[in-house]
Amino acid sequence: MAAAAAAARPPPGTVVRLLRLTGFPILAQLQIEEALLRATPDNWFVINDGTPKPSVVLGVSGKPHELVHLEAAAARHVPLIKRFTGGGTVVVDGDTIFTALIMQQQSLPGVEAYPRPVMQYTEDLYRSVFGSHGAFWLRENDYCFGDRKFGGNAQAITKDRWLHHTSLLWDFKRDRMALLQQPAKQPAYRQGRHHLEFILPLHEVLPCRRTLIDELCGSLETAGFVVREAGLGDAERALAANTLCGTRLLDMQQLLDGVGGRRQGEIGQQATAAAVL
Amino acid sequence: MRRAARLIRLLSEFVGSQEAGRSLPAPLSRHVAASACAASQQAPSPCRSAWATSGSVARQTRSPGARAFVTAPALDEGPLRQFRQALAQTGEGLKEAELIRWCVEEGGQAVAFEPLCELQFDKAAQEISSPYTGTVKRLHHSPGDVVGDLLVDIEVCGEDMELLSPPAETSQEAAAAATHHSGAAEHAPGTGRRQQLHPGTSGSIGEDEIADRVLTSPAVRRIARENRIALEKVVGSGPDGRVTKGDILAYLDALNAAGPGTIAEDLAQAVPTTEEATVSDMPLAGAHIAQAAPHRPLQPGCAESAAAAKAAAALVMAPLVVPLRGYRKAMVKSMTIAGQVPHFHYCDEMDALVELRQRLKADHALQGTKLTYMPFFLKAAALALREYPAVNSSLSPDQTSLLQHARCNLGVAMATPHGLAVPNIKDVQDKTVLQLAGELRRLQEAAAANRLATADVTGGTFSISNIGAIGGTYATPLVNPPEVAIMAVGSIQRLPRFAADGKTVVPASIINLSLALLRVSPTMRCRVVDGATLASFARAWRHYIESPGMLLLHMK
Repeated sequence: MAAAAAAARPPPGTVVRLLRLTGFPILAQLQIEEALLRATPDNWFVINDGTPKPSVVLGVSGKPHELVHLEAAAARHVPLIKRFTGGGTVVVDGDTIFTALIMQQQSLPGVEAYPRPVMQYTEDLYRSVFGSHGAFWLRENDYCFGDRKFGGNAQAITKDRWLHHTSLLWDFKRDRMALLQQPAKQPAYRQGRHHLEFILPLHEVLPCRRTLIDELCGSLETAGFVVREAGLGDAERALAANTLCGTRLLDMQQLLDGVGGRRQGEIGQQATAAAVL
Repeated sequence: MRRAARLIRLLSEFVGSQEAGRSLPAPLSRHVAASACAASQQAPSPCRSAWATSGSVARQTRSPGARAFVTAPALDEGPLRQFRQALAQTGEGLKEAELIRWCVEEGGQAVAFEPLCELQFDKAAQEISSPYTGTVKRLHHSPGDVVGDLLVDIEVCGEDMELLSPPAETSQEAAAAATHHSGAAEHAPGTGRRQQLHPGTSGSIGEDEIADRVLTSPAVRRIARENRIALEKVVGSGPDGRVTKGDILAYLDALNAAGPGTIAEDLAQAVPTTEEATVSDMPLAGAHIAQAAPHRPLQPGCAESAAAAKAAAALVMAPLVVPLRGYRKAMVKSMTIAGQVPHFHYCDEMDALVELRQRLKADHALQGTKLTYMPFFLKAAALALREYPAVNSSLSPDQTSLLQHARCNLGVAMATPHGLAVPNIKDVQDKTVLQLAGELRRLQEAAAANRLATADVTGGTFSISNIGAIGGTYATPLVNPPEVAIMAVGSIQRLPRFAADGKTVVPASIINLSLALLRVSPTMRCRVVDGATLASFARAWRHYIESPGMLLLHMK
């Protein structure tokens, strides 16, 4: 394990509950994560190997009409989901591996509950998994090999707890990635590259998907946690107890109507400007 | 009637100051009258109402220059507090973020350190905690807005009415006036102001004194009491010669500038753990703006202080955020003399440490690791920092808070083929000298191979530069921002010294020690840590180095 990870270790005996999912729908997974964050006092590591239906997932304040080609997404029946964490927009499908780390602040007293320290902690955590396969590092807010991104960063920080989750691209479909617009705000290291040149499918670097998932689960014990397997029943109890849900499926028709309205407005403005001239 | 007139006058003054374009003064200390204010936590808004309608969230421009007081409060209501600088809770040095949702409603209750709202910035959605308990009077933004400084107005129950401190500019003017009036005397006379008081003034508002005592508030009296200042000597700038908080803070400024160290020791002892710390029923590590465990300088031999500090450190290891208020904030922004040069000290009784190292360096437990003096220096520094935690601090990016760290992550400057590196050893306070030697070796090897990890070079709280390692004896170290102080140690020299009899010359091992404070900008000096505190830290460090047996007494 990277020596740096030893600098932020949990108190001995700190438990993390491991929830392993396979092919679980991403909307339900995000709702579960939010419930585990808001409605339980436990530490969790959630890992989901793929989601059955390709989807676009936006950050909590993402503007769909600015980030997604809505008509193309609608034509391909790709739903849009807004999650409860910050961060950018991703296209996910069966070749995406999702991880979420939910932590009580006192369980990692060496990690201050701010985005940067949390991200750095996860960099150290995941270095035990990716470090031996290449130049792995956290570059600005992205997990990269070299200058190519394979996973992003999104967080939610509450009074006593924080959640960090990421979607790791084992592989992706180029035509689905084309559903995303070029975001206005890009990391400096992207240097204006097209999205497909900027991201890296992990299968080009790592030999085995199954091994990757096992190693991600194993990184917690390496980091000093006691890992206990949990089941969906625990997740369901959290869902029932949670009163606040920021994760939701967006109404595509409403989004398209909004786009249409904006276009009408723009046309009207142009006509008015032309009349004035 | 008199109270109503006073309320209206206070409001008028405040609105006038706002209209003049001056910034709102920092809020006063939070002595929350929990019993007087039956606050109940607002249930989180349900999904549908908390979130904007699906689809686009209208991105509105920030409300220009918010005016907090739109209605006069009723006579029996507490003062309005404006929650500013909420973004400081994000720890990112942000100037603005997007408001995702409110956890409270106008007219509802806010509870100190319970969620107030949720902001989104970059990759994180973060809950912001309320600094006050009280009634939410006005929410200055709607979900989707980009928020900056001002967030919400909260009416706090049962608090002192005197909260309108004059803005910083006025405080400096008052300080200049106080300095001007003081002349050769230690304190500025204030007799002229007292003559303005009407003999018949009843001062019936709150706990105001009657005619023959200074017209001021309990909060100002507390400051005066803690700093042993005679209130009658402070020139009051408020109505009827009232001494405002700004007046007394400016007075402290003037005293501090006139005689560095004269009040610094007292102020260091009264560091705003009492002013800003939470009440005892605070949730642990709940908010980012205060801590449940106050930090206090350890008094050697004081068992109660040691036990309390140990219990506090065990509970919470997150840094204590000490907002820079009043005189301390003025210290950040003012030109001062005493802190401009590094502080030089020396240790001239190194023989005990030299002998100790000689005996230990061949111990098999080291397993070949070279035992230098640095592990001892680090351990002594950690113990001294425990006594003077203000030195183990970082300045917040917006320079409004001092992050006083409970952990001692001590940086060690290393010259490598790739340049200067300052990796830090985490939690020196919890490591043995043996462990420190091992960690130093690891960092040196990693630095030489250019393989230092991100965590190795971040999170430092105080640094030591060992100029002695490359043969130097004196050094003027540069502080490693955002840390506020740095120490440099020279090489150990064998020099002649007079023995106790004053006649005999004996050889002694001498080491030079210099300390420096953070310099904020080329034109300003930061003295968020005053010279007296730094000098005291140096003395404490020297004490441990000259008597290494003391390390055993105080090490955990």
